[in-house]
Amino acid sequence: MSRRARLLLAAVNGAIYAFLLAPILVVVVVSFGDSAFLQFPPRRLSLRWYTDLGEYPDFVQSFWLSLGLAAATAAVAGVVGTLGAFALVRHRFPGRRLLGALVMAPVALPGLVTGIALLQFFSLLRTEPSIARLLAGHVAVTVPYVVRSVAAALAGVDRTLEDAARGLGASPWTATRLVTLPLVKPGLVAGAVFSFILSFDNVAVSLFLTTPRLVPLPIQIYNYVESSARPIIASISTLQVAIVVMLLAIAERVVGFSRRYVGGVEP
Amino acid sequence: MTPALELLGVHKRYGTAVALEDASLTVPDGRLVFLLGPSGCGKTTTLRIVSGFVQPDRGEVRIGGARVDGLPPERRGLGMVFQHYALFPHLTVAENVGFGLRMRRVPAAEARRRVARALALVRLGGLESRLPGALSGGQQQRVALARAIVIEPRLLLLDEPLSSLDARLRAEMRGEIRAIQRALGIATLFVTHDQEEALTMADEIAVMAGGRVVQVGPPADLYDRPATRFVAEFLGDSNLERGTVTGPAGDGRWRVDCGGLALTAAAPRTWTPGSRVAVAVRPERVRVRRPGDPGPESPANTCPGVIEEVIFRGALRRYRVRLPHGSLWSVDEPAAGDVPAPLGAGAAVTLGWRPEDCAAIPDE
Repeated sequence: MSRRARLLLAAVNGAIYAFLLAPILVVVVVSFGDSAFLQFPPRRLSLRWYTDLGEYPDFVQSFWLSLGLAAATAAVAGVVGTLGAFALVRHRFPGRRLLGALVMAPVALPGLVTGIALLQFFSLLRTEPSIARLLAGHVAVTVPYVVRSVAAALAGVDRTLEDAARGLGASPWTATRLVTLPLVKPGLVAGAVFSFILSFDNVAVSLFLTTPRLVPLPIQIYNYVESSARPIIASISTLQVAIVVMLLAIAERVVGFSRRYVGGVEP
Repeated sequence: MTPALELLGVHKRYGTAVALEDASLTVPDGRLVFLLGPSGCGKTTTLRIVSGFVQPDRGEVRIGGARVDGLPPERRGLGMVFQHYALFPHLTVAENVGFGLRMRRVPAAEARRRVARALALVRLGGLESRLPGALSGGQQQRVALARAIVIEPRLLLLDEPLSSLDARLRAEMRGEIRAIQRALGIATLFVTHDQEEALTMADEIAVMAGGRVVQVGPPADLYDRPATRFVAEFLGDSNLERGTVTGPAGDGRWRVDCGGLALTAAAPRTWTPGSRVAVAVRPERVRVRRPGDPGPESPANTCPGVIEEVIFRGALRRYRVRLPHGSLWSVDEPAAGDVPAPLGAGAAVTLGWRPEDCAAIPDE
C-alpha cells in the first residue's frame, strides 16, 4: 500500500472512530463539570455529580436493578443459548432449520415489535408485571446471540475428541464437561457478555414491561431527560459506559487467551 | 488362552446399505493383527463396533472372553488411537496422557508416575507441560499412543494412526509402534488401507472387502497364497491370468489354458478339467531371460514377450512385458549385485516361472 493510501485509510478510520466515540466522550466530560445544567466544555471540573448520586435514589435503585437484570439475563441466556446451540449443531431432527430460524427471529424484528408482542403475550397469560417478565423479555432478545456464538464455536470442535474421551472412560456428560465445554467457552463468554450489554442498555423491550417500581436504568434516564437536563444524567451514563467497557476488556482477555489453544486444533 | 478380541458373525446395515456381513475376527493375546482393506470395505464400522460407538445388528463382540455388545465405549476399557490423534487441545501433554487415569480415579501420585513412564516409553519425556498445538505431527502421534497405553488396556485399537504423517516419519513410527507393542505384549488391532504397513508390521492380517473378512493369516501366507483375486491384487502386485483347467500334469500339477498362454500350476486345491480358475504370479517370481541366455534352471513355464516399458525402482528394475496373447505383465529384476545389463523398451525376452509360483485362485 502506498504512503498516500495508508494516510487516507488512517484518516477515514479516524473519522469513523470520532463519529462513534465523540458523543460518548462529550457525555463523559460533561459528567465531570460542576454546573447545574449540561454544559460542554465544562468551566470547572468537579466530582459533584458522582458524590451527589446518593441524592437520587431512583437512579441508584434503577442502576442496581439493571445490573442485576443484566447479570441474570447473561446467566440464563448463556445456559439456554448453549443448550440450544448443542441441539442445533449436534442433533438432526425434523424442523431443525425452522427452529434455527425462529431462534434468530428476535434479531431480525424491531425491538419495539418484540416488546409489544411480549406485552400482549404476558397479558394473555395473565401474569402480574414482575421482574420475571422483564427477565424473560431480555432473555428472549439476547438468546439468539448466545446460540449463534456458541454454535460457531461448537461447529469447530472435532467430535472425535468426545469419542476419545469416551474411550478413555468418560461418560457422555463427563466428556462434554471436560472436553467440549472448555473448547466452546470463548463462544459462551462472548455470547454472555454480549447478552449482558444488550440487557444493560435495552430500552425497546423494557419500555413495555416496566412497572412503577421496576424501572431499568435506561428507562429511568429516558424519563428523566424528558423533564430535566441536570448533569446527573451524564454521570450515571458514564458509569454505565465504564461497566460495559470493563466487561469488554475482561471478555477480550478470556476469549483472546482461549483462542490461543482453540487455534491449535487439528482440522 | 482367551483371545483379547473375538468378533463372531457380526452384521451391520445402514438403511439398505450393508456395512458388515457376517464379519468374524480374532485378536489373540499379545498379537498385532491388522484389519486391511480399501475405503468402504467395512473396517471403520468394524472398529466402531469393537469400540462401542456403533451397535451391531447381529453377532457377538467379546473382549477377553466377556461379551461387551451393549456396553458403552467408556465401559469397555480399550486403548484407542485415532487417525488425527484427537488430542484435547486445551489440556497439556501430561493431562492428555493422564485423562484415562483421572477417569479411573487413580491416585495423583501413582498417575504422575504412570504418565511419566508412558511418556518415557514414547520418548517424549520433558514435554509434559506443552499444549498439543505446540507439538509436531510425530510428537502428537506419540502423545496419542501414550494416552492409549497408559491405562493398560486389554486391547489397543489403532485407526490409521500413521496416515497423516509424512513418508519418512511413517516408516520410523512403524518400527516404534511395533517395538512398543512387543515390549508391552499388548493385543492390538491396527486398521489401515496401506498394504505395505500391514505386510511389514503384522503378526496376522485380516483382509476385508465388501463388508466381509475375506482372508486371515500371517503376511507371508496371504502374500504367497491369496485366497481370492481381491487379496492377490490388493496385497502387492500380481500378474493375473484367467483360464480353464485342461488336465493333470502329474505331481499335483495342472495344465491351464489362459486364452493363448498355456501354463502349469501347482494347485493346492482339487481341480477338475474344465474348471474356471485364476492364476496369480508375483512380479519378483518371474525370471527374465535375454536371447541366447542359457538360463541356469528350466522353470517349466516359459513365454516369449517384448518389453514395453522399464521402470526404475531403486533396488529393482520393473519391466512391463507384453505377452503374445495380449496380457501386459510386470516383472522385477534385481538392479544391484551380479546382474545383467538393464534391457530397454522393445527388447525381446523370454519369461520363466515355476509351477509353485502360480497362486491358484477360484475364479469368482
